[in-house]
Amino acid sequence: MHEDVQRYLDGELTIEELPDQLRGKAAAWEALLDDVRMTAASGAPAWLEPRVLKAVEVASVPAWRRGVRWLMQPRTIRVAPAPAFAALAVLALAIALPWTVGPSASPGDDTVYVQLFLEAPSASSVAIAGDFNSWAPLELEDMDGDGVWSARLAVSPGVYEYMFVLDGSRWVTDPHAERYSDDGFGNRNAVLAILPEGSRT
Amino acid sequence: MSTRSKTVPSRGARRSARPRSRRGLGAFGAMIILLLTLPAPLRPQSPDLDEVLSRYPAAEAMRLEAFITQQRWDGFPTELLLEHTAEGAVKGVRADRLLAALEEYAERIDRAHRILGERATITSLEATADVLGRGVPEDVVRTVAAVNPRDDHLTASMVALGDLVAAGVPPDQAENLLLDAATRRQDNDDVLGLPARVRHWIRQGYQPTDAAAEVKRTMDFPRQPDGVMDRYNRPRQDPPF
Repeated sequence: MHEDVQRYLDGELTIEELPDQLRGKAAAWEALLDDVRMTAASGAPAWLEPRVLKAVEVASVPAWRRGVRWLMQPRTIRVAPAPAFAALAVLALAIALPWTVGPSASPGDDTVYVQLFLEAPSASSVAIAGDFNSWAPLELEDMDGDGVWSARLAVSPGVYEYMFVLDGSRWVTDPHAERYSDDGFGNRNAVLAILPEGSRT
Repeated sequence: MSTRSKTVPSRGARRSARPRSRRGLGAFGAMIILLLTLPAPLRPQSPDLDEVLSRYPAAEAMRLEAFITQQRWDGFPTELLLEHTAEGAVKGVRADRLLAALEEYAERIDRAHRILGERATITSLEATADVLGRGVPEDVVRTVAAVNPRDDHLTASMVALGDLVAAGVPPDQAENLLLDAATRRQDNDDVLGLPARVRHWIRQGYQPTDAAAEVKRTMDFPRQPDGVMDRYNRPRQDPPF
C-alpha cells in the first residue's frame, strides 16, 4: 500500500490532498474497509458457531475422553433427606445382612444366636458371665417384669462355660443347661456346646 | 376473625405435613440404629491379665502372674489359664485357691496336649482337659481322639464322652459308643445328643450301662422324613431287670 494512501486511511490526509493517480486506490480501500466494518457489526450467522464447534469437537475429542471429562467435572447433586436415608438404609442392609443372618452367608459366617433365660423373680438384676465374654458379666433383661430374665447372644461355634450372677454377687448355675462342668472352685458351670453342622466324610 | 379462620387450616395443613416427614425420617433413623446395634458375635477372647489381677492384693497378684508367665515361657498355651484366672477372679475366689486350681488345670491341659499332639486347638484342649478332669483314663481319651481326625468332631466326641461318664456310663462303654458313632459317621449333633439319649433311658429306670447299651442298640434306627432321628420311640420299653 502506498504511504499516502495509508495516511489517508489513517485520517492524516484528505482525498483532495492525494495525487490523482492514488485517489482511485484510496476509494477502493475505503470501500473494502466499510464492508469489513459492516460485517463485524452484523456478526456471524447464527448457524455458524454451533456447526463449527460440533465439527471441531467430533474431530478432536474421542468418546471415552468426553466420558471421563463428564465424570470428572464437579456437579451439584440435590437430594432430599428421606430418600437419602432410605438409600443408606438399603445399602447398610445389603452390607450387614449377609454377614449376620443371611441364608447365603459366607462359609466363615457361622454365628449362632442363643436365647438363655433364668427364672429369678426375687432378683433385682441378673447377668451372665462366661468364657465367651472373658467372664465379664453381661446384664440380662426382664422386659415384662415377670421374673424371667433373658438374653439373646450371638456366638461363634465353640464350647462355652457360663454362670448367671444374681444381684451382682450370687453365682447361680443355669438349671436348663444340657450339660455341666465342675469349675474347679466348688461350683458347676453350665456348658454350651455349639459345633458346626455337617456329617463326617 | 376471617383471617384467623384462614390461618388455622393453613397451620393445620403444615402440621399434618411435617409429622409425616418426621415419622419417615424417624423410621429410617430407627432402621439404621437397629442395624448398628445388631449384636456382634461373642467370640472367645483372652482377658486382660492386669485388669484381672487388679482384684487381688499386689503380692498375691504377683504370685499368680509369675505362675502364668512361667507357663508362657515354657511354651504352654496360656489362653485357657487366663480364662480360668478371670473366672476365678470374677467369682471372688481367694488367690491361694485360685493358684492351686490353676496348677491343677495346667497339669490337665498338659496331659491333654500330650494326647492330642500337634492337632490340639484351644477348643479341643479345653474339652479334652475337662474329660480328663472327670477321671476318664488317658487310653480311652486317646482312642476316641484317634477316630476323630477333624477338630469339630474331636471336640464333640470329647464333650459327649465327658457327659456320658458324668451320667454314670463306664468310660470303656462310653468309648465303645463313641467309636460306634464314628463308624456310623454320625454328625456332631447326633454325637452331642448321645448323653441326652442315655439320660432318657436312665429316667425310664435303666441303669447307666443298660441305658448306654440301649442307645447303642438303637443307633441304627432310621431317621424320620424331617431328618430328626427317632430317638425315643423304641420297640422295647421295659427295663431289662
